[in-house]
Amino acid sequence: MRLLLVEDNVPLADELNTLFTQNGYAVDWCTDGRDAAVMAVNIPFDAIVLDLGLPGRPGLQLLEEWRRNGLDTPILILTARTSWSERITGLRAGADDYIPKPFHPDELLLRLQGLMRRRHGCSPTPKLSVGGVVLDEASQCAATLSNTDPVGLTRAEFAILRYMMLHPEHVIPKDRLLDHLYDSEHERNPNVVEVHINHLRQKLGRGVIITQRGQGYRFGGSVKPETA
Amino acid sequence: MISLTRRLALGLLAAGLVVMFLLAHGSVLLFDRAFRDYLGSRLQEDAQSLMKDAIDRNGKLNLASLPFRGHYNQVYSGHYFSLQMDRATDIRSRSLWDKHLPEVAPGLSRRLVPGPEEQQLLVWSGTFRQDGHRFDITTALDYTSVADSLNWLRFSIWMLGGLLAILLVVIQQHVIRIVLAPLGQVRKELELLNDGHRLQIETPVPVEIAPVVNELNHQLERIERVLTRSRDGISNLGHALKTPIAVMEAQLARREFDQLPELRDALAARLADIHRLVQCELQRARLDTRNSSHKSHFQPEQELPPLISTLAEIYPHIAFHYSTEQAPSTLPWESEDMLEVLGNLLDNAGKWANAQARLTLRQQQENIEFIVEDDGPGIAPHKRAQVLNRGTRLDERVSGHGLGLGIVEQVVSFHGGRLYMAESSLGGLKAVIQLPLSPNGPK
Repeated sequence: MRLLLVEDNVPLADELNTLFTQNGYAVDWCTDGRDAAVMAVNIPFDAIVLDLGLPGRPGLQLLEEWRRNGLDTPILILTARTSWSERITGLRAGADDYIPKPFHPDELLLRLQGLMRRRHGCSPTPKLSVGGVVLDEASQCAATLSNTDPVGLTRAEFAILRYMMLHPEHVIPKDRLLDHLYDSEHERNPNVVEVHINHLRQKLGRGVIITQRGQGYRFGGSVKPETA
Repeated sequence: MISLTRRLALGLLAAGLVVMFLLAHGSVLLFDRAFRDYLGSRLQEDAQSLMKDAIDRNGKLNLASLPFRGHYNQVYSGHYFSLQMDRATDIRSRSLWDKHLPEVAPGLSRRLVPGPEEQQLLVWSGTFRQDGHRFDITTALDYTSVADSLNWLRFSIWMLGGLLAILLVVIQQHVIRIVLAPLGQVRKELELLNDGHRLQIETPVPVEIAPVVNELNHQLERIERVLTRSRDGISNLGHALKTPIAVMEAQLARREFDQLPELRDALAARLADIHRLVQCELQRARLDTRNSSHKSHFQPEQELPPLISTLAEIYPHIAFHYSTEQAPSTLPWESEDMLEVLGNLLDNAGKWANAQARLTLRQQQENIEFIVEDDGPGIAPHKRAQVLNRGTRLDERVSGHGLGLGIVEQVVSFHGGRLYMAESSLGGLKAVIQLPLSPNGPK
């Protein structure tokens, strides 16, 4: 999952960067509204976290412009302006959620999760459950039908699995996976993705991710082992 | 309190009375002097004619020829004389009967001299020499009636003067009222200012008051500037503080703090305190210093749907219903306030509800009632007061910073209304807000 964080307060942005990264998101960060306007259109982000009080261009204006131009990335507004009338204005301008500052980091993560689940048509339950695989986003553990004990995942494994579980019907090219797993400052090494996918297969069973040669990967789910 | 009107009236009355007193006294004195001069010269003429009459053609004293005219013969008539020739022969008018005229210095007596029957006499005496005889003649006249008339005159002038003084005061009061009328206007304008409907005094005022009003206008301008600045200041400070608080909240969530749960909780509690204070002050600054020069109104029909749809997006599993049929279509409150109140209450309802939340607006006599209900677990009656008190958060699991109710209470009490909780027919909590339609001014 790749996020665009638009926040001009450096300490807060640092904290959020850490928070999001720890929770398996790749984060691109910009402090200026004008940069954000360009980045949001050119990079396929999975969500945008937008502060409304921005230098360069006001967040609300940015939001309206994106929506007018058909950008349908889920957008979460982060703002110190907390009154309901401002909240309504923000949501009517096209935001998907609105978090007043200050906020509990857990709440921010939950709302972000909920936002993306809704986007992919899943119900915002605490655990993501697709095709027999159950992913607990809080503890970054996964369980399958064949192995009902949750297995701990590394951050990268977790990020890959989550992305694939949110797009269960799609064949995902390796490039696209890279786009959504790494921010623009990380070196992209396609081989690393292969390594992570192998680890996932070892932990959750070979069928969990299916390689479609020349096309990419597809989420395979888990089947109950036949009782012999 | 000093009353200008009363002071002016008392001053004018005192001045009027003093002037009238002096006028009465002075004019009576002048009259008195004139009368006495006139009567004195008459007395002298009388004395001279007496002396002439006393000497006959042969140069002998002939008393018989003295003019015992009517009023010299009538006893105590008020006209008297006595005549001494060569300090021996002593003749008195009959009107004196057995009384003597007192001896006085030559000329007109300065004072009135007591005479018979308590008469006050104006006395003239003089010495003449004629044909080797010496005549000492004293003539006297009863002055009582003149003195009485003069007293009457004095009294009349006093009365008249007193009436005039009172009339003057009445006229002055009237004039003052007319003159001070613009001040009344100014006061009314100031009242409007107080309600926040006006920012300048525009009544035309007399030249004498104009500097005061101008100065007042300057001060008002300055106050307005200071208010705006401090409102913006509080607002900026408040909003600016929220970001560092958010940073600290995020830092508190770091794994390092898992080793120190007590410290983390204590810091989190302090942060929550700071946040609550900031939020309260922001709200108060917004309420207290708002510019109410425009007429505020809230139209539920137009403004509720966006709120409801926003809430429906936040809580997709809950059905929000609302009804506004029993309330007027326009309510006399700032829509920002109303959205804040209803947003917070419905947000709470959304957090706790199982499947539905309901908002009802209705008019109850002079109040508008906003009723927010949910089908959640509700709050036990003995805990409701605790919830209302400064927006304490009872359950930490439900997201939010427990500020919602505090803000609701602040806005509601600002508009002179009240908030209470009860049990809903849906099974959960019912929060009721009553706002008076015609408040006695915001508190």
